[in-house]
Amino acid sequence: MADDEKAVVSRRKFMSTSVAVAAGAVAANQMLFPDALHAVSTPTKWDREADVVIVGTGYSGLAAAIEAFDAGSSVIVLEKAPIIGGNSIIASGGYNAVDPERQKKQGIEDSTDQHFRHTIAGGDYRADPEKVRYMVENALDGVHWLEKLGVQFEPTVYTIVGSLFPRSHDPINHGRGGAIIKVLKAQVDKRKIPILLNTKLTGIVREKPLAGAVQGVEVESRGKKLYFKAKRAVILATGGFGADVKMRSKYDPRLDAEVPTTNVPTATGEGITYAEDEGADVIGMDFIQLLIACNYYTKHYGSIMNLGVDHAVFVNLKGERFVSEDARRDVMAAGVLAQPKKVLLWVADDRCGKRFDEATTAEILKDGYSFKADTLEELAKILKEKFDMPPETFLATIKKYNEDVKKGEDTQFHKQLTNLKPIEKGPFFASPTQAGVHHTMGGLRTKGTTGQVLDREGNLIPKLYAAGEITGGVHGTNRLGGNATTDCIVNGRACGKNAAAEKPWA
Amino acid sequence: MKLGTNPLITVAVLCLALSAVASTKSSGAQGRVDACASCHPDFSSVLPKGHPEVKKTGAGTCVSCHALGPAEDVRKNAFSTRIHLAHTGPKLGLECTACHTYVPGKSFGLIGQSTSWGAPKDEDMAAIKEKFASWQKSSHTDHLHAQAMVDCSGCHGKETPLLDATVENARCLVCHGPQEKLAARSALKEFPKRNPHNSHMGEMSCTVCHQAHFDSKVYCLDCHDFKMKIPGAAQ
Repeated sequence: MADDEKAVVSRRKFMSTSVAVAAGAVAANQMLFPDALHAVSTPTKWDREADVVIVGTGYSGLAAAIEAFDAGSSVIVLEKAPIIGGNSIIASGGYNAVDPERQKKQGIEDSTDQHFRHTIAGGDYRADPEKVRYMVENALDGVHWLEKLGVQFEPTVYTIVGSLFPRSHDPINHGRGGAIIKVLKAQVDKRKIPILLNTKLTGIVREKPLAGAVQGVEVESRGKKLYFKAKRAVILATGGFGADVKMRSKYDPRLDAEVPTTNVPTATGEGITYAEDEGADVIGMDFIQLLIACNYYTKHYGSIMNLGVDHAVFVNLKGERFVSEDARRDVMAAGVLAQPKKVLLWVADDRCGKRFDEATTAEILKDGYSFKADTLEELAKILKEKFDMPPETFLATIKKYNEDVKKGEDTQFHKQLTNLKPIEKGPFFASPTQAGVHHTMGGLRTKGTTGQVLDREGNLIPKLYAAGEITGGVHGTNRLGGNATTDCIVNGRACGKNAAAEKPWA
Repeated sequence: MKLGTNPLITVAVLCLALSAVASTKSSGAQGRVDACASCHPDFSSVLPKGHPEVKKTGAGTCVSCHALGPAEDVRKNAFSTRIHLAHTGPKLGLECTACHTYVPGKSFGLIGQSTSWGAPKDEDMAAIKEKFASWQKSSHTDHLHAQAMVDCSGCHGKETPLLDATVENARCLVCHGPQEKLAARSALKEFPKRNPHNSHMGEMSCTVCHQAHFDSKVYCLDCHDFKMKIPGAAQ
């Protein structure tokens, strides 16, 4: 191995002026990322090979790995971090799917048409309807597939924040995204599919610059460059770029380093850049979602943000509501950014409090990052002390809200009836929360529902697939809460199957 | 746990530092007949308290009781650790070849003994020298292992590790496990969920946080602002 790596690997770095000028779009890219432009041509020697090489170990990557393997392909999965899971392993794990079996028991009327409409309208009609239709139609099959693999969901669905409707499936025992990743990982291990950690994508190998099929990937592992041949296809499942300040502020200059993020530090989007270096097209890159999920004190961990929105209100530091708690995520983020100190208090009663893992809640309370009191009056006292919130305003707000609940109409902000539940059962919780960069809706442009990556002229880049947050077009301007898990599982599976059906090259 | 051995690269990983100049590589052995006796004609003066009486001299005397060469299995090796720490420490600062024979790419052994433990190349020896120095004296986890009488082979086994070698969890857990016990030890009374050895990230490699030859770092702190410490952290 050591000797192999010392072998001189001849590859074209594609930095020569003549080639870059010939490809105008690439030349433009080179100006933006002068050090990063990196198209890689066939190496003289491949270090390893598999039918399908998958980059990333979140929901999409692992789902693709299982499906590709089950369709008869050999698979290698690459992960740049020393652990698997990316954003998925820390996600809430809410999975949106129309599920008559569960919803009927709760008296919830739903349909895939409605899920489609919510998604399309929630993204300001900027998502690709074909992609949305495919996601909502295959969502339930994804739930059943996960259940068959061993994921257990709660017997009831709920409205995860920003999902607009109670169709979010919740892994049991507060297992969250980690529970889904754990099961997928066990299934990957069962199939003896290797996951190579600390192995960072540094380029995509394509036959010729901007032409021909993708042949594999270039990676860096412990300081060494390696080349992995993909006989059937490469699947990019590398996630978004929410944690990359340079990249996100290129597309939305407001999202500078002062804006926190809910993402893992490895969500840096270079998978998109390397695909662009091979000619890939991107769409919707400035559709970047902020979610009210970052703790006011830590700017990260510490908010009890999975409380749900039914037995809950959001109040600003003046003690007033300012937005409907079941609004779109972008509406809520914009709302909180307009409030004093850009902070909201997520105030909930015990029925919401129980949604969050009790032990973790206890520790967050001990840290002093969120608060709990037996009565609303005591909670008001804490909020006065911590934030100088006028107790009388706060208590009047809750009173008014509860009266509206009784009336069956939110006269102020028009929270949906299904989510309009009283705040009356102690103990009560308050969690100071801010908006942080959460999801990048834009990304690689793919063909229809195949997951195949397209170039700037709308042509296929043969043997290059993408699934999950790295892709664009699935969500439009604003992603519904709980739709990302669905997107990743549904499209990850599709990519795995489609990649395995490609003809291998010699 | 058995590691595969390749005779070409198998080597005693406990060798001492080597001179970089090729011509002097085995010069230390010249004219000497025994690794120990040439400097210690009388063993009794260097034996630890309570050691049984030793009548003979020479390395052969020691190895009749103390294991010679690197072990495949996980274990403490107080003899090897002590002898290496004592001879290469700041007081003496001896080179590998003060006790060892070494012909690059051919053999590696002990002066006065016929055994060869492998055939390290120059670059292997350079790497061993570097890591050995860290084991001998550093703020890293390797030196903590030296203090606990664990030498290189305790973690790496018989085979010379490559520079990018890693140590699998199973090997760590022979001494530090089982996992449940380890998790119980690191559990915080006030914050039972905040346990690096039983976290929401599921199974992960020990080496994500614990680096033997570099600064160790609590991975949790990439996202959380917990008050957590790790042995072998940056000073």
